[in-house]
Amino acid sequence: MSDKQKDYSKFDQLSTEELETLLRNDFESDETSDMDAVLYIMEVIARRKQEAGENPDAKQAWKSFNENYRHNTHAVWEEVEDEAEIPSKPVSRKKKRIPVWLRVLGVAAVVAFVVSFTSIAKDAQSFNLWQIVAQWTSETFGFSQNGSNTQDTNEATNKQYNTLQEALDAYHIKEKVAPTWMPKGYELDSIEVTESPKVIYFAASYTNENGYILVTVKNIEGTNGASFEKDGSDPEVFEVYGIEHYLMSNSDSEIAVWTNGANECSISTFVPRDELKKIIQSIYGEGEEG
Amino acid sequence: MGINEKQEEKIEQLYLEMYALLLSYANSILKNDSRAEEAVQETFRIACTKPNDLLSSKNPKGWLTNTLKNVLWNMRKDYAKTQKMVIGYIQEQEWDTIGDCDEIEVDILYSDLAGCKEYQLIKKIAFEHKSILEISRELGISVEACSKRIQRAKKRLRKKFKNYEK
Repeated sequence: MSDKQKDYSKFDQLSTEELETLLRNDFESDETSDMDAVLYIMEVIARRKQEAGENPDAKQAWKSFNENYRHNTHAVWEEVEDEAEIPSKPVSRKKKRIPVWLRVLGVAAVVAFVVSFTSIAKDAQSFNLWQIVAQWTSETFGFSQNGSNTQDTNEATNKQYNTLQEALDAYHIKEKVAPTWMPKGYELDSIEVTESPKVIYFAASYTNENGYILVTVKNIEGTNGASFEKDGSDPEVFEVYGIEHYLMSNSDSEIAVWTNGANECSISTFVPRDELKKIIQSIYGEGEEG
Repeated sequence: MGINEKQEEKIEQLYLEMYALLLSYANSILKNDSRAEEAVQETFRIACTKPNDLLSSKNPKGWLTNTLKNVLWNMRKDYAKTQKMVIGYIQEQEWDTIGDCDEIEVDILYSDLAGCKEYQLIKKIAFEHKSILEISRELGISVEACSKRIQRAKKRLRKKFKNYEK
């Protein structure tokens, strides 16, 4: 423990959710952790879980460790180039760009990918993503539309844009859908625009050393406003500028989906939810701008 | 790995003390119990390869926590890479056809991809967020065998996905 005998009892007053948010912020932060504080928070959370009867069986886990993990030469999920052993050491965070997600990425696929997660309850034991993707225009989760959603062709445009707003302006998209603020360190990586006769897809990718933010806009000609249909799952509703934004978590990623006029929009990212909200607020000139 | 008996005892003691704490940290990031468990197990696997570093550290608990953070970063990157690979491959297919086929089993359309079973494995990793341990239990095979099977499936998928960037 710290020689300075710092008092961390203030953390006892916070809810478990708030403490977990602190841990996530610590994880995402580039600054050196206050390890004593982090350990204190971990102990508080673990103690609360024990009191609620949720504490894991460490002895059983130790047994599983010796049976299933200890003698491996690498992480069980890690892909190894050869069958040969690789050095096992703590791998430090590499300052490496995240590869760009987007190529000729039909934004329908990205939106479907994003939307498909939103129809799954967080504690669902199993689901068939592919059925959901195949049915992504159906009622399970999605935006009802008045116009047709069929696409005759899907062509990526070759034009280069410096900002998402520039791309939207080129297609006369009047609604406010482009963020004007990104968390520190995130820079625009690419903008892709894909056209078909009735649908235009915009996808902007922002990256930093450790993560990405993907903003997508799908403009559908002939629609006069889509309504959001929920299936009983319970996303957080974040209203800004009179528009309801639906915020969900999936594993360690945060996703926001909403409609604005004829546009279906989404943001998916690893940044914490409070930063996602700032990104959304910046679309409408609220909160921080950069 | 060269751990003596004394080191073994100390590591086991640390494991029993820290398991729940590290699990809570991992869960706050991953929000997935089984993958959080896997991250913690990997942390201790690394610790067992460097017992001197861990046990001579001024703060072994802090050492474990920092190691867990690095594990979580690497895990996140690896899973994101797998997701990207699968989505990217789908984009190479005739996506519009898939969008219209409500009745057709989409798996059939991909059955030539990585062999049906291997493809199902990758789906579990990329989109169902299952841990290797969970999948190995479903399949009734060892964790090591499951890990190797998934690696083979990824390699086959990558060969098919000609535009995939590593």
